[in-house]
Amino acid sequence: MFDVKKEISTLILIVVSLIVLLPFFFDLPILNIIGTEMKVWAVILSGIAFGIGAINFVAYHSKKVIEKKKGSYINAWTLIVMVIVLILGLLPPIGDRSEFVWIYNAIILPGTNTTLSLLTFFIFSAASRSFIARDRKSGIFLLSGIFILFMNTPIITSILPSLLEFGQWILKVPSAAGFRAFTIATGLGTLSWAYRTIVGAEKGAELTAQ
Amino acid sequence: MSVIATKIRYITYLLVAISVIVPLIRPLGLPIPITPTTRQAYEAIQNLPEGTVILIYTTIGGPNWPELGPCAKIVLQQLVDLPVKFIIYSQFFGSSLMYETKIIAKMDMKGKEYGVDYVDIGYIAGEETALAAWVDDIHKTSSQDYFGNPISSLPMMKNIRTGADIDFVIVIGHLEPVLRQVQALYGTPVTCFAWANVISFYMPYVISGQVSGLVPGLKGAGEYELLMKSPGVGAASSDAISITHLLVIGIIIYGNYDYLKKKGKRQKDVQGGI
Repeated sequence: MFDVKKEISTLILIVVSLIVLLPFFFDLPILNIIGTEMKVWAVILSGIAFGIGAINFVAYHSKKVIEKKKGSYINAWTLIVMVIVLILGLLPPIGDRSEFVWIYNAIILPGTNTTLSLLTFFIFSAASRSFIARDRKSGIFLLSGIFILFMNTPIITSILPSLLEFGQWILKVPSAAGFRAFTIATGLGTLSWAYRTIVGAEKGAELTAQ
Repeated sequence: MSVIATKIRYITYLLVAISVIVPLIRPLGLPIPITPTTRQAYEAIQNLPEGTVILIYTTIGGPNWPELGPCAKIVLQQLVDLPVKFIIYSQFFGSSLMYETKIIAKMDMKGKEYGVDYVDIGYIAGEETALAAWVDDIHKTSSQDYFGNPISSLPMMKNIRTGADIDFVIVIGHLEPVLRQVQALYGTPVTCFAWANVISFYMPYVISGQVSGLVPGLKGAGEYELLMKSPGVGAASSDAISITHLLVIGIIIYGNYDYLKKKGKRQKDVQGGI
């Protein structure tokens, strides 16, 4: 069945794709100008997406607070903090006010760093349990892991400089060969996806599933 | 979990904490060998001719600050000493804030003047599309800098209008957007400071010559500090890396010994049972 909305959106997709793509192959000033304008609009829309994200955030947490669900005080606190940071961020000088900078440097930064750093303990715990030579395959896995650890330990590579050279060879030859194949495959996949988009065959995951 | 296993786990955690904290408080000065790709990055930047316009494309801030922060600091220290100009472009909303408050504010800029020798463009939403738009038309995409000054009012930016006016790119974080939107289009030389765990991904670009030099995260920052003859957080962290890595090797050896011991005991029990 002919769906006008779907066909128009596909047509827009094809036209926009061609406008952005063609300047890569041909020196067409008019397409360059339009293409640049479109990319700038994409930047503006990305900025608007932040606003939409904030609205969704407020709507989600407000609903929880209004419904007084278990633990809704956390949602209320999230909203309060958001409002405080937002106000401080928007007060002049925008984004550079000392209180805002303090919140970022003294609360957000240490908080995110601490959360990530806690992983160290779990990685140690996991290493002691997973790097065990239970059979031949896990033995190879263990050897590879130990080798990577040796290669990345400055004190060991300073004692055994040949290990650093061998590690560089591993990175530059077998490992790079694998990743190169992976990158080329991804590139070809992207190319085929771009082609499908331009010819209007790409309907999006949802429509394809239908 | 048995009481002994819990105790061993807590002892391990304690040892990890000690092996990280002690070298950071009191650096041990353990030797740090220089990785060839780190030296390549250092030499590529050190040999830049006078007046080179450098784009620092960065994603530092938040969770990656401990790993990439020292890289950002030491390379900026190098640029301050060179007769070059640089533009800071943030691909993460907190990057410019980090640069301005935690690096530039605490660094001797040695006469480098804002707007004349360096500019902070700030964060531009839109990730790779934003970079594509920016290299197409810098003045249109980022009409203001991080501080809200019109770009056209900054003397340094008068003749820098597109990606073609950028002579060199230093990436601190994600490399691919720069390769696709700058290096592939304009052939601009690129050097990269990346997380240690993505070095394998980025190595093919070094071999192909698209990237001149690759610095592996915090370990690389330590090496770079030694090349700069200015040991700091990176070098101290290298000590912590050495000690924690030795500890994890020890833990793995103990884990295997424990497994084999238990396996042997189980086999003995089974044989005894038969």
